[in-house]
Amino acid sequence: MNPEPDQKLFDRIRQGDVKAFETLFRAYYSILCHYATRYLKDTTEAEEIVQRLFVRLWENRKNLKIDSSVRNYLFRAVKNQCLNHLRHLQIKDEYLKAATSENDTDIDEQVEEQAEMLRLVEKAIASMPEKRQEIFRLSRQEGLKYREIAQCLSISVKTVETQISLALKTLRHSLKNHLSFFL
Amino acid sequence: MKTKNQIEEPSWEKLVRYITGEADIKEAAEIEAWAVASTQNKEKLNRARQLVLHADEYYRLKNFNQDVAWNKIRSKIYDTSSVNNKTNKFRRLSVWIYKYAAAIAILVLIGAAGYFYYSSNLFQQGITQFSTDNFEVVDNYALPDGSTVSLNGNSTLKHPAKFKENIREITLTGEAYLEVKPDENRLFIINTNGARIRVLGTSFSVNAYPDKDTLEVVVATGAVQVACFMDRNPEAEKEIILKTGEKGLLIHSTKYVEKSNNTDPNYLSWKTHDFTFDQMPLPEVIKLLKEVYHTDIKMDDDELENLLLTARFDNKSEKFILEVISLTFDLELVFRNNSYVLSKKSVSNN
Repeated sequence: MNPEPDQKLFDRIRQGDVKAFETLFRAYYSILCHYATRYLKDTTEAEEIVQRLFVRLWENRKNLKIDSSVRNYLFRAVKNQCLNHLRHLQIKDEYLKAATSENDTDIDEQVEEQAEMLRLVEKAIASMPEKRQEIFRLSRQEGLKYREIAQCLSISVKTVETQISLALKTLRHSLKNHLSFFL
Repeated sequence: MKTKNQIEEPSWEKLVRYITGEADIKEAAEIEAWAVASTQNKEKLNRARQLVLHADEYYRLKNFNQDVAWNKIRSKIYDTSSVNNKTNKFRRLSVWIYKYAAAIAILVLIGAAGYFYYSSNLFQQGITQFSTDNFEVVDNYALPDGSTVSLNGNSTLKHPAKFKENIREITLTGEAYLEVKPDENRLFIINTNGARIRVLGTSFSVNAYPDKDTLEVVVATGAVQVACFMDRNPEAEKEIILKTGEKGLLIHSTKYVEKSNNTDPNYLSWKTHDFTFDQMPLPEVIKLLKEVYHTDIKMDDDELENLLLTARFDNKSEKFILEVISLTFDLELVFRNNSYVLSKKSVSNN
């Protein structure tokens, strides 16, 4: 997502275009929630913060001025809201100090790296046959054991094992250029 | 296989079993021994672990349901232009449930959260259910064929993820305003408590709360046919056809069906926030405002009950309407203890 198209989108939002606002929302919602969970353990609270941010953004659309890119603005706003929330909960000062020392370029790089990784994962998963996708999803998203997945789909445990191994092989192939940078 | 140099590299399947926590104690020990044997092995294990971590992160992201969130935000933004914008479409909330009852038992046992957004027992594949909270209004919810539904508070809409080839059927309780896309090849049918509404036209409102004795349908444009079931005997069905501007009323307890011309210009105020008052007694005005805006409004003087209001408001805030009323009748308006209070102006000025 380069900054220029976002700016145009934002101009339309300023003029009251709900469709444009929805586009912005759908582009950033999941990533912003995910980002918020770095500060807040509670995913429900994270979602509420991001939702409130978007509602306020819409309500103040005419008055909004954004200096840097839209993306930076959104992430900074989410982070501020999270820190406010933490302050409200009276979390220890050292943690807050460390969090507030992060500057904009740090956020930019981290977010970009993470977004790229998730894009690759999504692509890899989408390329797998549907049955394999489902088995893998039941394992990772639902946390089911092989035995439970086998029972759920009426297949053998061996099949589950094979499918998950193949799924991870596909992921290994897709992410091979990126894994060595992470330890 | 005991010395370090002779530890075989585990098969990919074995490695995956270990990382996903499926390996038994013996296997786990073997893999751990292999891993410490060299930094190369350790790296291999680490990289494999990362794959799973990244996959988990990806699924965590997917847990944030955009559609639900967008529905929530959509209803908080009262946009008058969207009422006329028929191309507004947004995806629906889906709850998918497996065919196998055993699977459901397992999922429930391990508390697979995020699967049931609204606790309900739907044991059929592919049924979508959407409910509104007590004071929630959702505008322009899109059905699979492009028809739109606006839901008032405490209402529930059920429809299949995809309509059948020859018929479009939904279930509705509560209050809704529908705009049905014309389709000559497919009837549009709404099932609600006590009645089956066959749509022959385009836009109308349905009021069918389960705990109310009445069912009301008001047609805005086009024509609908309202058929109600009497004692589950299809022979005893009473049928009426309603045209533009007409209202159908069914009383459940007496099975009384009546057709009339709709004289209530404010039947859609819950959705549009438009009001037309034609010599309406102030208590009735207040009652309506309270229903639509969900705030308490009190009248401090008995004399105020005799006042008649004639006015029109197009999507204004409650505060604005009350201010106009107080100006019109020279009243005092205050907000006190979570309630608006209208009273006669005191004689002495401070």
